[in-house]
Amino acid sequence: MVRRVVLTPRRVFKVPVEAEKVSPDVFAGLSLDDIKKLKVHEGNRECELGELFEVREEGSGEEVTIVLEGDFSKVSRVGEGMSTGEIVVNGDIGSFVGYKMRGGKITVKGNAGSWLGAQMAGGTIEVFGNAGDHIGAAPRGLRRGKGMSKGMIIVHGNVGAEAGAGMVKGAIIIEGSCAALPGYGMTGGTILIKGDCAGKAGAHMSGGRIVVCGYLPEVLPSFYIDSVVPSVKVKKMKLEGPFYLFLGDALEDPKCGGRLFVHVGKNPHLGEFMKLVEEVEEVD
Amino acid sequence: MGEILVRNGYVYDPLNNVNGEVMDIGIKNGKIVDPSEIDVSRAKVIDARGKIVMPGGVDMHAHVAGPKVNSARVMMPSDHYNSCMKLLRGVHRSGTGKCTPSTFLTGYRYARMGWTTVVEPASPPLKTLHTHEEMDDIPMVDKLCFLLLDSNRILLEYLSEGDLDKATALVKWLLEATKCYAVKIVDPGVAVLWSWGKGYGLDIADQIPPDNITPRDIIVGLCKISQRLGLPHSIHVHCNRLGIPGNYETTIKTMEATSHLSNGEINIHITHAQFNSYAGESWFDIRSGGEEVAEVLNKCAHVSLDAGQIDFGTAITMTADAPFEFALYHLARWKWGGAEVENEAAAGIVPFKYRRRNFVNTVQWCIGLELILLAKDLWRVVLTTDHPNGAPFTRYPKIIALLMSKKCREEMFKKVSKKGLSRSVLPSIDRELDFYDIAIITRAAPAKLLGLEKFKGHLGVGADADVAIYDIDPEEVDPSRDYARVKEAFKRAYCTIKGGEIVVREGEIVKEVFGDTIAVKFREGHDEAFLKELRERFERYYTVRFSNYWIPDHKLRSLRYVYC
Repeated sequence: MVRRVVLTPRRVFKVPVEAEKVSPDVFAGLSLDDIKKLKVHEGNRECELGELFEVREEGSGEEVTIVLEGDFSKVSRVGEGMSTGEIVVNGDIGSFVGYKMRGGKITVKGNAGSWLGAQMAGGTIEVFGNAGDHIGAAPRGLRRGKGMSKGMIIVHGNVGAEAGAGMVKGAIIIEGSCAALPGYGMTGGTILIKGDCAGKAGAHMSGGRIVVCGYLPEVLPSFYIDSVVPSVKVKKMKLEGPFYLFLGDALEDPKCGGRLFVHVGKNPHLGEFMKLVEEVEEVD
Repeated sequence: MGEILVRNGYVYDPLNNVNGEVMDIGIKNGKIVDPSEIDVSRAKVIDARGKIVMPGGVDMHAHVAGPKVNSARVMMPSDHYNSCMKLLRGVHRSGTGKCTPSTFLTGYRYARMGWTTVVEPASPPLKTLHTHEEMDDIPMVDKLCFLLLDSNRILLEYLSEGDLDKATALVKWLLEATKCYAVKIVDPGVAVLWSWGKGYGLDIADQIPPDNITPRDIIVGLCKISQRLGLPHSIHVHCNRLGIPGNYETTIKTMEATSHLSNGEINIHITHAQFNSYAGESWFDIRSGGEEVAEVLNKCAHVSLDAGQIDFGTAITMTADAPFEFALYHLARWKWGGAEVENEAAAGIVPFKYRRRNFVNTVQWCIGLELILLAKDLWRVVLTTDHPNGAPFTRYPKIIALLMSKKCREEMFKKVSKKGLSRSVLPSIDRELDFYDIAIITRAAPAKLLGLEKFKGHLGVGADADVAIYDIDPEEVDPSRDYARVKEAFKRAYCTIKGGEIVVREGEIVKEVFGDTIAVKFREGHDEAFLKELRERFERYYTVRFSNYWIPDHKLRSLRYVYC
């Protein structure tokens, strides 16, 4: 049996609300009254959860599902560090959703803000709308390879810049298109972009894979062309190509551990590379 | 400002030879007075029964303000979003940062540990106004600032011409113009070479083009100047070849360079000696040279040093030794910031993580402790971490526990690299310091070496009322076994009194006060003919006008002069 805790905003928030306590790990074992007394910040003011949100409970059980109904676009840090349970957002939500999460599942039916699943270390996040910048990324100033380290992020819409920056392991699947610098400084893991990418894919990457199935304006000059592959397999999905395979980023790591796959058919302007590959094959 | 009476504490006051006696301390109008002068009916009485009473701590070397600290703050956002102090309206302000805390937080953290005086040890003359403005924003502590003079274009010209009179006049003018306290020498001459992208590994006897001069000449020259001017603190030297294996020989040469100038007084202070005590040929066969350096220290009565102890964890190295920082960047491969100040100095900033399992870092960790524990005369040794180069200053309690307890050190030996330990003599040292020794190396010795012993670092009548009370009973607690209690006690002072005001109670800030900036002032005026000549050189070399260089007194919040 699953215990459902439903939160609805009492009013429209004008300033950001920091609600890191809204997480199944915190709610588990707390009665409804205790949940209402949890501390959250509205702007610089500390207040109780029950003051800002209407909280009601359905069912009972060990496992907790938190349902957020209404407009949460000003609410950030929901599901911070969660390790179990589920959060369902029926609408938009703000930034830092699933920051440092270790397990469980977050489903967002609307749009999500920036830093979605930043530094996550497990679990699954699925967004049916668009997501902001820095999904699965490492916060500013951290060493490369301090980003997302496990788990999966699926975004059915478009995402902003620097998706998967500093990523180590895990997968980010973007059904729509993506702004600049996906996989900035990544050292492992997979980023799949089914739509277009605004450019600079894989800058400073030293490991991992980026697959661009749509249009990519240019490949960074610090990448080497390796070959053309007929298809790529990501999370048991077979993507039909053919794809150019580039290795890089030579500026970051001379060993060029990162692999960038770019669809051949959608990128006729990269035809130069095809000629290069064919020349090499003839020589062989 | 009211009267305060600290009752029945165990007082440790090495400058007055008070070793753990139960005494009362009277405070009136910001000064220590005889307890009989206090009117008990009006005074605030602090019951210090079963507690330790010490003078307020003096940090002799901590980069707390100035342009390079500010650059480090910008470079390290991660240092700030992981640590913060909340605002308490009417009591204290908020702040963030671990390694390079914001100015207010710096002051609060010092006060919470019972430290009341801090020295910013390297400020290029041109940027000293910035340093002063930042120091004015550091509450709770008295501040001093040392002037970087080793690569000053005009000074080097005078020194290479052998014109010591003019060089002396220049140093005198610069110290007074910038409201600084003493002369700091960082890897002498290296900033000159760095202008050409060179300078890494410059040794004490190497030539510095274009002038026909060596780092030894600069050290000896500035030591003579410092003596002529009668500066309260000796020259503060960061030796050549810092951070390069085998540099202990250079350090020993530096220590011996000024021996002929001494008449029994201390005339050279080797700062963060840990970074300068590496033996071996390369990073692969590095071993501790702490024993050798400590031996020379024990032999030469004209030398003092501070430890520059590291602690494991993230630190930010920042020094005016720019080529070394550039080399370090290639080891750390993370971030690098560099800056050059026209005619005067260069600097570099590199964040660095000291790891327990890394044998080089373990050797470094051993050296700092060795230097203190092997010194026979603790009055010439000071505890520092070279904040934030070795570790933030908030790690002092941890290091105090290590110095006071062999058991604590043995616990740490289990966690660090065995290979590193085997290259140091630390495991064989049995010495354990007591509270009196700790009071020397954290309070009395730095105050005495800085020449502030008249009003800082002791609890005699007439001293500034800077008092730290720690909640630990020396009769009850055996620091060598109960090191965790020692660490806890020094982490948060039970009470800190700054300038006659109670600023910390039970580890929490209760009041914000601002200390003074202490600077030297010369009784004799400047030579007009020399100033005219200096103005000419100035207008030729600098981008600022000569008349804009002098920092007026009103720019500083509260200035306190030491006359010499």
